[in-house]
Amino acid sequence: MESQFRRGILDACVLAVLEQGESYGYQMVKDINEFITITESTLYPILKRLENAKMLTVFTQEHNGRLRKYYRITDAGRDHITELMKEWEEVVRVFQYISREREQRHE
Amino acid sequence: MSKKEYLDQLRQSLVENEIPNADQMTEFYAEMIDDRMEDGMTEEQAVSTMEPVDSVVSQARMDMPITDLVTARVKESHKKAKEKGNGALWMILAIIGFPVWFPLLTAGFVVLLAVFVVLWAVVISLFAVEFSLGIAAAACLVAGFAVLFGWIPVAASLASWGCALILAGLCLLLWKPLCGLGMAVIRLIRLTFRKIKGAFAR
Repeated sequence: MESQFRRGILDACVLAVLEQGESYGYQMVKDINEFITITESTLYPILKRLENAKMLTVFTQEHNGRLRKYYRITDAGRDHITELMKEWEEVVRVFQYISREREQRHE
Repeated sequence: MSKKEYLDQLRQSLVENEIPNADQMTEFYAEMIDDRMEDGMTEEQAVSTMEPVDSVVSQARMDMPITDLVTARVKESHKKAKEKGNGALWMILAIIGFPVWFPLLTAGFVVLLAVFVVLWAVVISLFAVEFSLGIAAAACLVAGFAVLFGWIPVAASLASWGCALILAGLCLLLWKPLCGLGMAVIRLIRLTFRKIKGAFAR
């Protein structure tokens, strides 16, 4: 998958996971991996980028005697998902157009 | 490999490669290992399912600004030379060779900048063509109405409206291909930038 495209999708996936409730790194990797492959080294810069863009906030909470970082989506993050969904509709239209063209060519 | 060994290796590698916030990043990976162990894995299993340190560092380098990558590359080269006992030679060559490498580096930068400017100019001119076709079509349409005031003959007015139709048709016809071409050029610019960055991140 083209890297820029994949990056956009992964940003949306992280935000979508957080929209369901606050979460932590390992859980997010597990949740997102059900749909698209993601590793820790891919997730880390995404979380940093989204945090810098104020689309999520980070807080630390004690868990089983150790500290764990949790991530929570902000209103800016929710708005970003809405924008992405609008853009996605356009992508789907282009995809359908390409599929139709290819089908017609192969017929 | 134990958790401590993995994290020590990771931290050292991140610091050596001048990745910012090495400690924060190491903490993130420590948390990942702890969560795996909490999920039922042994320490060894948890570490073995982690990404190799080289892969983590290479990914982190890709997220660094290109200027930092170049600086890191130069420092790395100096460090390697120092390890081989050629640190002073590296420094002398860098100073003596300055009249050669600096103009070459500047020329390389200027060439790259020129390529980017040319590519952006292509994108802008494509849209300028589209815009001018639209404006010309509107102008011809308006000009055709001059017949109502007797400023131009009917034939000239009809010719003007005909031109307006042709130009508007061209404008509509070229809209999608020009947009596609513009997007392709933008993608090419992004790809080129990532390739250049990738060369320093390796």
